[in-house]
Amino acid sequence: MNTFQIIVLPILAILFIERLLAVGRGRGSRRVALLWAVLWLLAGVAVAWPGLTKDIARAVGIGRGADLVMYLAIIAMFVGFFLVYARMRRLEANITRLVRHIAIEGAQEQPASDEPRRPVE
Amino acid sequence: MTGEEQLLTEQREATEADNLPSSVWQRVFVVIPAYNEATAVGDVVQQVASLCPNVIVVDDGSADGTADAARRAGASVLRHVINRGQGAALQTGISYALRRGAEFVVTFDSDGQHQVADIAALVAPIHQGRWDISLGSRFLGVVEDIPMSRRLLLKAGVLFTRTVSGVPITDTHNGLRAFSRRAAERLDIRLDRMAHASEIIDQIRDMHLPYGEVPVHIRYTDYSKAKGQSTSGAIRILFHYFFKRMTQD
Repeated sequence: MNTFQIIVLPILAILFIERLLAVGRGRGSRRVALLWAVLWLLAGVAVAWPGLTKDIARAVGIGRGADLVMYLAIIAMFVGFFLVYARMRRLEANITRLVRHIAIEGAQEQPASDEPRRPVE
Repeated sequence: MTGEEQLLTEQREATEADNLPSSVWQRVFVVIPAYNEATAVGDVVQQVASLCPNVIVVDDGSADGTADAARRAGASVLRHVINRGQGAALQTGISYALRRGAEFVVTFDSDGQHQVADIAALVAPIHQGRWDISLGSRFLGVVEDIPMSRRLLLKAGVLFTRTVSGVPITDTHNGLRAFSRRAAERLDIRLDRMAHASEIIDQIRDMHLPYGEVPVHIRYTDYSKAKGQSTSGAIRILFHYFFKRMTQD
């Protein structure tokens, strides 16, 4: 085992176990916690057996294992960006509903009149 | 679009004969979204109020005296505490009009580009039961002093909406519209900002209610020209519209 593995593997293990416990607790979103657990596990596997990513990369026609990991990371970032943007839009929609509610509750009605108003010259 | 949905068109200008009896005017609610329009909104409200007793101005978080000007001119004023965009303001005004018992809901721009005389021409076919939604069209009507760049942008908008929505109308980005109560109830504007114009057309199509276009008179003043949409704004609107269609949020 090299120094990098000795330092990084315990950290990844802690992150993995923490997320796994979060799945067990079931607070918040279980699916998201599980996703992170899987992600940390895969990271750990990739660090523990560096040859593995290289083999997969070769199999799909990419030169180096590190390149494969980088491409996957970029894709994951785009997906993450899209999810955050979608969440932002939901948040905006909720703000609008709130603002609308306040506006309608606080409406200042014009004084009732039967006759339409004449324009003031 | 299916065969039975066909666009109906009123091929004439508004005339005096279009004016509605006051019993009908009592049931018409005119919704005017306004953002920083203190200089123009007072006159617009006064002109509308001379015909229609129910004028609702939605002040979309203006920093100037828009709300005061509208109130003094005789409108019911709703205030968005923060700016949420024209689509959001329209939906607020329409929801409130329905709550007040509106049978006809008219949307009208606050910058003075629309003519009050056109309101009756839009409401009349709905009142007569000919259709449920009237859309104002400047390209069927008279346009004064429309700048060439604005004309091209609007025509591009029409082409875009016709292609994407499949609705064969001649003017998709006109703020002057009228809805029957049942049509207004089914309207649910989710796109807060300017992309709501295309969204409203999509929803009208999906309501499967009869609709038609009515020629309206648009006056391009220096004021309304300055307040209008730029080309870069149009690109941003496109983005919002497509994102909504992708996510269906």
